[in-house]
Amino acid sequence: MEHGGAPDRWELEQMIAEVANGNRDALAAIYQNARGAVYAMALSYLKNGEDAQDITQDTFVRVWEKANQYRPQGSPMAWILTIAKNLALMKLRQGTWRDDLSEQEWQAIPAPVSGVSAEDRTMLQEALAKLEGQERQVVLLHAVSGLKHREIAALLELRLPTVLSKYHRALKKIRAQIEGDDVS
Amino acid sequence: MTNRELEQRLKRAVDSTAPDHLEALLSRCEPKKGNVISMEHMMAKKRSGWARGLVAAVLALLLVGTGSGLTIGFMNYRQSYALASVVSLDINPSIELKVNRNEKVLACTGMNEDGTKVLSTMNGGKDLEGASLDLAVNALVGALLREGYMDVYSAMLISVEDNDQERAAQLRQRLVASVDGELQSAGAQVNVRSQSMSMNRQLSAQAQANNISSGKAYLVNQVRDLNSTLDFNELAQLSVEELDELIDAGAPGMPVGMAAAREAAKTYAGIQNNSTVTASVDAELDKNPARYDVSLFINDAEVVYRVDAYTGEVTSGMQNVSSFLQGENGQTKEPAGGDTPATDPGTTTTQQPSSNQASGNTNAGQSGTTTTTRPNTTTNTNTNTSTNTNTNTNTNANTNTNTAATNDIGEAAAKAKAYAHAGVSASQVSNVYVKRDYDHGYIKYEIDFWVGSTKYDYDVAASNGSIVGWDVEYHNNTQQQPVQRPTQSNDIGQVAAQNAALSHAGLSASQVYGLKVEMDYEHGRIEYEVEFYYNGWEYDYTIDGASGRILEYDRDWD
Repeated sequence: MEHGGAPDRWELEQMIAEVANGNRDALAAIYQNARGAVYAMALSYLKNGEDAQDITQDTFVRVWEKANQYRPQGSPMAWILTIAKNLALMKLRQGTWRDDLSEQEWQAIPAPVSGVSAEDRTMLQEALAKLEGQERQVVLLHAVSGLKHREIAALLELRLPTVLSKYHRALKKIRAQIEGDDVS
Repeated sequence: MTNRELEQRLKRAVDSTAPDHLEALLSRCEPKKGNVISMEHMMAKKRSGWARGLVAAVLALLLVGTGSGLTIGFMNYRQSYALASVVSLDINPSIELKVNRNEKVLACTGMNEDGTKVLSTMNGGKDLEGASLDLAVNALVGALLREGYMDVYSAMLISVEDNDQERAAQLRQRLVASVDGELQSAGAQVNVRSQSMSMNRQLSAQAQANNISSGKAYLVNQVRDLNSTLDFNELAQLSVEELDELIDAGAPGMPVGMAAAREAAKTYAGIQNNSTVTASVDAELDKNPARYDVSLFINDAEVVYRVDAYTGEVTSGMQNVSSFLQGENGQTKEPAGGDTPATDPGTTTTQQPSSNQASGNTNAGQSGTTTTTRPNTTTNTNTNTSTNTNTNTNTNANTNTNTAATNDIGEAAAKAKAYAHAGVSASQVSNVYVKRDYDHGYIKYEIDFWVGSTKYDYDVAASNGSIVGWDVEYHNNTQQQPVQRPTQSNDIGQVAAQNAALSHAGLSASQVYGLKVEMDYEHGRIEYEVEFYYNGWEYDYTIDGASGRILEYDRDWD
């Protein structure tokens, strides 16, 4: 663990414990560190940036409400992402997500955002659009959330070899998209 | 583009597009009932240092209220809560301190049963949360001293885990100096070993699984680096002292452990079911032969045993402990000019027969106890010569009677063994001093004598006459050679001895000053005494001249 970098498991658990005590600063710290990962998780299910943002906010409200139920037996990040996954699935079941976009027109980024280069924005949009649902989930969780493949397998209820296979296939497709090759 | 680069671009893109609406989030979070820490409450209440840092963070949030203000508040929080270092103290109790970059204790945890026991007097370690690291470590060392762990174990390990190696080195040096000073003030004979390493999740997991600190796990792995056949879990059960000595010895095998050695000695002594017996165990894994020295305290007596470190076999010690409890040590004195019988019985026991006194022994007034003053000259004014014959007879009889159960060869035979080993005859020796003693559970004769200006010291086992130890000292400028001097074919030389010591200390010759190497002849072998200074510390080493193995080492604050 590097000082100033992403918090490690122990730090996250301490933050969750503080949130359980009603410490808003701790919630703020968790938010700053985990919002990208939670957003990626939500995005991988909902395929829509605005819906994913709503789920991201909802996830942290749920963390605030349920922190006292957290048990330090597994990964604290996996606990948070499970909340995000369940909320995303609920939204899918409710049928309130915007499904009017085709796979090709799927918009990962809701609006031009400062700090993101146009190249990266394009890369994210086009590359993710090329991926299958689980491929997208696996690569976002690994790249953005920093989860290990084993943890991703548990979270998505997949076998580890399946996760590894989808991960490598996804990266291959993204690389091909970026480098101009068309690999189906 | 590598996979890693691809992931980094993906992460950058997603992180940048993820929502950053903290205020909106916080507005949706209702204050919690019960143990609620509201912002206003936190600002008003005076707490310990870490809470003041937290309040400052909250103030930053309120006063600024912008994105950058949120960042400042977040950073203050991280300063208070971010883990910077993990400091662990291991003796056999294992205690871990998590510390932030301001060197305040975030958490204090007992990693094993003994560690938890030590912390039970500090509210499980919670009393140390928020305290400075120096204060916490001093408190822990004090607790370890009070609980008696420094009496049982002779080595302590201080480990500092930190990815900032410069900070780790500074912390380590400061803590070692502080702990050393505290131990010296308390008169504790404890060697302080220290190490620093980067944080490692795998090591932490390995340590947690075995209820030890990461620091001790790191030490265990050093042993396994020497011998990978040794089981981590079993090694984790050993004390720091044992692990340290095992490393010095090259980790030839798995020692039986202090508990097993203690039980082996008790069983051998026939007192395994005696709950009144206390014991102390001293590991000597870096000695040859590797062993545990076990002292059993029975009533007011101490009986010592030697247990093989790797087989658990008792190699010396008394089986019939009760007969030892009835006996006492004895001494005799020899007049100058040759081997003349002792003036008094060499054995002093409460069973001393009255006939000894009736024989006219002028020493009878001493009630069977002889005390001998070592003469400073070669002439002896012993006035008991006339009674020697009678006494000698009684002496031998007494000796044989009292030690029949333990096969004692007797004083005369023991002296003969010593003279033969030295290559001298009885007529050549003077100022002979003999003492019959118990040592490590066996009876021995300590025999000193002079041949000219050369002094010989011998320890002869009473059971079979074997030479247990010997030494020679030359006492004139011309360095007279004794009649017989044992030879040693292997001698690594001063340079190799010096290098062995420096290597063990992790230093080079150019780093140290005051480097001295002296050859000595002890216990029948060549040994090198190496001494040097580094960074305020004095290092002392004893190196085996034949193998280069480190026999002893010490480090003191100069």
